[in-house]
Amino acid sequence: MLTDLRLELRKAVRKSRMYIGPTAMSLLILAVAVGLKHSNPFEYLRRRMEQDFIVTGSFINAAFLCRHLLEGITYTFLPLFACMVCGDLIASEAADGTIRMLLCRPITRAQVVISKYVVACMYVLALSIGTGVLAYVMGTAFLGRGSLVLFSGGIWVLPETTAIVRLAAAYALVAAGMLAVGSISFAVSTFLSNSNGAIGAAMGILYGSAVIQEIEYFKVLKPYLLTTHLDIWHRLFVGPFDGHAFLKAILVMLVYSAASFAAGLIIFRRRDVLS
Amino acid sequence: MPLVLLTVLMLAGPLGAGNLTAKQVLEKAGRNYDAVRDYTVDAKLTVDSPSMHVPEMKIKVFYKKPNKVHVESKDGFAMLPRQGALVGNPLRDMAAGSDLSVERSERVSGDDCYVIKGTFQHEERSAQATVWIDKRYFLARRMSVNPEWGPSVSAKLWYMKVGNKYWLPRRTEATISLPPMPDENPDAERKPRGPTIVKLSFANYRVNTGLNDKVFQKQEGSR
Repeated sequence: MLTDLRLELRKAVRKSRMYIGPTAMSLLILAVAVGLKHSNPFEYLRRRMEQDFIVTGSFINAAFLCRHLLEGITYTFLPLFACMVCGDLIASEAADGTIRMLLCRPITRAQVVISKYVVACMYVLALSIGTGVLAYVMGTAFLGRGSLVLFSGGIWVLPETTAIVRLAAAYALVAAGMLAVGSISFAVSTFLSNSNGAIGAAMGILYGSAVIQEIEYFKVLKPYLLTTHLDIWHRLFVGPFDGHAFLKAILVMLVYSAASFAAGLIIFRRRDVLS
Repeated sequence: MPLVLLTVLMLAGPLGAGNLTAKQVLEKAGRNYDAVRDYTVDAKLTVDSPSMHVPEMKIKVFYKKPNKVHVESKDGFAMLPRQGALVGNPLRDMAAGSDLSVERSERVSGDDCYVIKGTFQHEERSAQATVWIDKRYFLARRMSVNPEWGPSVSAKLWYMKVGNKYWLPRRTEATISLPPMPDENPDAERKPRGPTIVKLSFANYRVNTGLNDKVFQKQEGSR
């Protein structure tokens, strides 16, 4: 099993597709950090605060960059890049015509799926957590460190250490969400020979879920939708800590991942490989 | 005969003080604060508020007459509600006010105080104020300011003697009602909200060191 995993990892690192996500995220973080350093779009908040407060120091820092980056990437870049790789691991074998050769080896189909899924998980976790780490490092280099200041139904100031712990937890929660989205893409890719279909399907499910969540008629489905729990990380920064809500969110995301993996495994084992 | 004279003088002292007008009391109290031209002090700031969720902050406050205030923080960011920052002469505006009168005497924390009421102008608005000034040292011990618009403030002050010369606050506690914060639901303005309590405790005063005006021109963090 470990040999399969090593082989899959070796194959994966040779694919240029693997590097699109990290490169794009690095450029995005760089652009945001440089932008925040040279033009502060939150200056209006400072002016508004200075009417009633004596304000010292800046709330634009590494923690602020990390926190606000999550707002922008949770539904866009991260799921897209996660799906791009997760949906490609099996589909590309079919597209390249190597899947039959892969299955000729003395390993079970389950082993193939498991080793590819482990690679997918590693990629998604590395991309999500790596984005957070890189954002903090670049934020420190360009904007400096300090307390995390949030404006959400009041003003919340978290000391730097607390902010780092909560940011780490937030990125871990988002990683769990991305794993669920990536797993859907992975499951779809087990019966397609083109990764684009898998990416489209997973992103469609994500955005469809976000739309259904807003429709009153489907409110009974809301607790089970992925998008309901994808934003749970917001609650790490404001309001009292609700452990039950976090556990529920993590459970839902893991169930999505596990169910998608199981579906992918079943489909791939029964699949008639013709390519 | 000298004994009679001494007795008369001893009685005349307190009686004379008791007959001070509100203006005289405020002027006497003002002299205490006016002796301080500038100071730098380390302070711990705690805010207990329904709309401000901030940890205890360690700040450095710079003050220069008449009303220049600058705050620095080791944590990089700090915010101090303006109305809760009782630095400098808290009686400056009131001393120039009208309708000043000594209402009564009252004990605050075991000390006899004049209770003075009056109206004064502050930032282009009229405000009614009550101030408790202790009879012994002529220091403002409690204040309550109610402007014609905007939130009202009530404050308590405790003092220490710095360098055996200057009376400066050791601790202040201001109770204010803050307006809605940025990104706060505008409806929040209409909902009854609890007050915000701003507590400051001071240590390490450095008084009359000739602080440069440049200190107060710094606009830290504004990019």
